[in-house]
Amino acid sequence: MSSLTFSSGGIHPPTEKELAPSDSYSALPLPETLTIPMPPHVGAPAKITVNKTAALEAGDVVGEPGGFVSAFIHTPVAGTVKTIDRIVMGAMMADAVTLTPDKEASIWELDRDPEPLDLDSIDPKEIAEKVKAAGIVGMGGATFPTHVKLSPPPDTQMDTVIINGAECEPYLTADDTLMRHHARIVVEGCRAAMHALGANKGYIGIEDNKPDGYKNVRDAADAYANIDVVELKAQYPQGSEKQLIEACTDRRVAPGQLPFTVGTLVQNVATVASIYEALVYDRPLARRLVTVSGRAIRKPGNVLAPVGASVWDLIQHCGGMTDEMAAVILGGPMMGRTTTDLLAPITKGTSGILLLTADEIPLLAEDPCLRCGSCVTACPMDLVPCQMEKLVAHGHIEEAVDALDCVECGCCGYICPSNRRLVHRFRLAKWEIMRQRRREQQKQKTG
Amino acid sequence: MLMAVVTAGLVMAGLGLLTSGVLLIAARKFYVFEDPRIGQIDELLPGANCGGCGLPGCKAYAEALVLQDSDASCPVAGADVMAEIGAALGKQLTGGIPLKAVVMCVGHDDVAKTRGLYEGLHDCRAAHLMGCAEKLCPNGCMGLGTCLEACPFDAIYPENGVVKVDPVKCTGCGNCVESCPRDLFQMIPEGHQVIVACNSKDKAKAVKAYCSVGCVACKACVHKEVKGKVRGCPQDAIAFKDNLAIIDHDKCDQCWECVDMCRTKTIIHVQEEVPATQTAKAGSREVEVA
Repeated sequence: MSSLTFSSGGIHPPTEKELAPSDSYSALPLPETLTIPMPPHVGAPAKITVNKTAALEAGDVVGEPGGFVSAFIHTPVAGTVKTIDRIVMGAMMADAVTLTPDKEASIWELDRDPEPLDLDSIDPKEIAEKVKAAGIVGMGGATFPTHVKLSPPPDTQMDTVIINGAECEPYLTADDTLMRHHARIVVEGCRAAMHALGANKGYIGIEDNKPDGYKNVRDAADAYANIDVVELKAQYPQGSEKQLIEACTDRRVAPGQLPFTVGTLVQNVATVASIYEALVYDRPLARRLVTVSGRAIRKPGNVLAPVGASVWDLIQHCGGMTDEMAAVILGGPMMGRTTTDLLAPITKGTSGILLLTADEIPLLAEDPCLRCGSCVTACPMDLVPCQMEKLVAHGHIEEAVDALDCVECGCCGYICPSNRRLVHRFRLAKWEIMRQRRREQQKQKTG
Repeated sequence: MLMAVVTAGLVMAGLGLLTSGVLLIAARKFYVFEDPRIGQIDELLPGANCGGCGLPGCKAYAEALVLQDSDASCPVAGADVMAEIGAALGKQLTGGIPLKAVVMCVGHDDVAKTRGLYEGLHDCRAAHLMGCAEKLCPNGCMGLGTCLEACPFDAIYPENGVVKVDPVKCTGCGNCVESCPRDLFQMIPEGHQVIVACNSKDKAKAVKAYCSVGCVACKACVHKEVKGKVRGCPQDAIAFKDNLAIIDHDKCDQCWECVDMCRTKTIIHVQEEVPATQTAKAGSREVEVA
């Protein structure tokens, strides 16, 4: 069977995955302190539930959900609370618990030989509850709470679960590492997610540039007839939700709609692995595999790190950085964000830390649009980026409503020969349009 | 030859009469009555079409006054213009309290700490989305000037990394308030000069980490009596909310004691921030108000 892919747009950036190969990973030695933030990015931030100087066991709750779209935060190791502070996290300030880990404490290892789940003995409703209690969120980067995804509106029929092992972002190999060494956890996690929704079909989509990960997952899924391991064409953005659904099932999610409208749930491989751990060991999500890569780090590799370890801890563990370091990106190079704070803690959604040289991330001046149309061909959402960009650049943001369908994958900006800051303009347009809508709603409410 | 000239002249005259007749009938038949006061008031108004009244332009505001008997006041026109408009309409129009915009941040480049290079779009909203431009403070002015474009009166200018409002040019339309992604503009009554130039709602330790003129909520300016002596604001016009001092402009009597009292130089006197060329004009205006 030839590799499957989505129908429109897409690009082929250099994968750079050989820098941090997936053949082994190391565990981060526990740093002296962990700063566990209550991330403010998606939904309501969590509220801190512990006091200063409280002694905590590994897996204890330190933050409770601040709303429906919010998740529990746990401590990865046993330790004592040192301070409770507010720290800068990107655009916002976030509350954070700083913890001194106990001397003999260590983070949990990932299970290499997991027991198969006995699904008959597990109540589907119990899975969503356990996932909520374990504070599991989407680990691909968006950190959307998984228990919300596992509780679709009551009248929807969910029949398909797709596990996202595409890892289409260049440089990143954390998901590949997980699939290569812990394929069975992924497959068991997929079964748990299917059981929770009553879905009868599961797909695990893996790009064809990860032959070892693909082989191991396929071997692990051999025993289950209702799980298909799908080989996908290596093409960016293969791991984007709507593109992945199309590649695996040929279903199309309408613009502005969520995947449950076509009866499908998409979960990252690391997320389902966490679901399995929550079910079997009652372990919360408090540590993850992080790719530390780029040409400005001395020893790139994958690291199993607790949430709350700082970017600096991981850089030091990977041999430190070279003088050519020009930018540090959290996440992948296409959708990640640069950080200027090396003491920033890693969160549940930090899939990678990239230390790039000026050659890898050149700062190029913006030239005028050539109307070449490359961005139109590259856009996987069938938008016309050049047109929307002009509207935004010339102050007609309210007319660029198409930007609301933009998934910010960055294909247009990558392909643009004039180095236009397309995605940044679309982010601005989305934000401004939503802000104006909120204002109008408020006006209608007040009078 | 003569005949041809006479014929042509008669034809042209006849055509002229005919078309003027058509125009006369059309003017009678399709006549739309417009209250003459609308045009009259429109001419009195400043004509900046700033939208400060909440309506799309001065003409719409004039129509609202005449046809809908609205009492809304034009924030840009002064009290004298409003009185004139009131006279034309035969009613008492005083107008609201004239307001001026002020920027609640003085985190200049030399006092606010920076965090790195910003290479994104030159737009405050875009920079705010990415966390920040170059300064570390998540609440302060980024100085990229989105408000400059929003101001129809050219009253906002950037200086040393933050924007300032020229009180002479500012008409109080309020367009800047909506343009700022960090809500740094505040409308205060004209003539008031003392503001808390900070928008940071963080605790002292966090504020100190990114700016030396941020409000650290020391509460030295709050009204209190210690051993029979009054300390802090004599008028009890300063309150604290979310680690930030707030001046109640109804109570403030411009004694400027808090300006001297503030250890971090967060409470400032706006006039001192005006460029030297405009101080003379602004000063005379202040005398008028007083």
